[in-house]
Amino acid sequence: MKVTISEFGDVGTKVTLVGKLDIAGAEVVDLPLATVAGTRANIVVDMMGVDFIASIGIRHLVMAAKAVARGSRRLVLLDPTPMVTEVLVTAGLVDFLPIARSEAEARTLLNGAATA
Amino acid sequence: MNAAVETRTFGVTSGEVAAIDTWVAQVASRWGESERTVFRTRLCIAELAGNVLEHGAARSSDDYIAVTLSHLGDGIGVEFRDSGRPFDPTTESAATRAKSIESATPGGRGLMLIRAYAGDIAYCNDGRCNRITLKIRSA
Repeated sequence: MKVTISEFGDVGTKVTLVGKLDIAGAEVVDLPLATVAGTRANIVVDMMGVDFIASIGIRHLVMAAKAVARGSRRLVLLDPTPMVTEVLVTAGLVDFLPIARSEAEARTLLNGAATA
Repeated sequence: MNAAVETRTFGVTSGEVAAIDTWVAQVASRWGESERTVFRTRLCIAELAGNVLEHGAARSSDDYIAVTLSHLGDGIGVEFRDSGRPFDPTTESAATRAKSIESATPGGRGLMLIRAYAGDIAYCNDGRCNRITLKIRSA
């Protein structure tokens, strides 16, 4: 799992994940995602490069979303693959971990929350 | 025709859990199953293996996870055996669907996913190991 952190315009922080968000991937993601979530900025998690996700990966996404929600911010998932999307839907997450299919859509979703 | 069957035994470390996933993907793909069926099989086994790694109590070098895959006419049969503490996925509580991020619990979705993707889930413990069997239907 590779994690890259960058600015997402003036609305938040983008966390780009590439690889498997399984038990080993979750260990890699844990600290950087928690650190970004601790800033209480809006977060866009770029999921395009995530080809597998297990519940332990979901756990880290939910923890980060809960942390930013405490500051009235949001976490948006950017364009997960169809299979990863299916897992997120099956796990009942998409109502509060919204999925954007483009960066423009992510900005629109985040503009509904407070800006960073 | 007899079903193709493959078995492999692994240790209980995060590296071995990753090796299980690689092996399952290779076997299921070689059998010509769809990407979705392979993914679902990998996911169910990853959830079971992750549970052993996280909650299997004190471990020794003798601890193991043994996975048997059977290529059935309409899917993949899985037998998952491990030497961890007793864990019955047919009776344990799964997370419930939350209505908001504030009420969502971070964990507990592994069982929810297994129950959604697998059928014919059965469990027994003979005092030496857990044995879980399930079936992933071709999709």
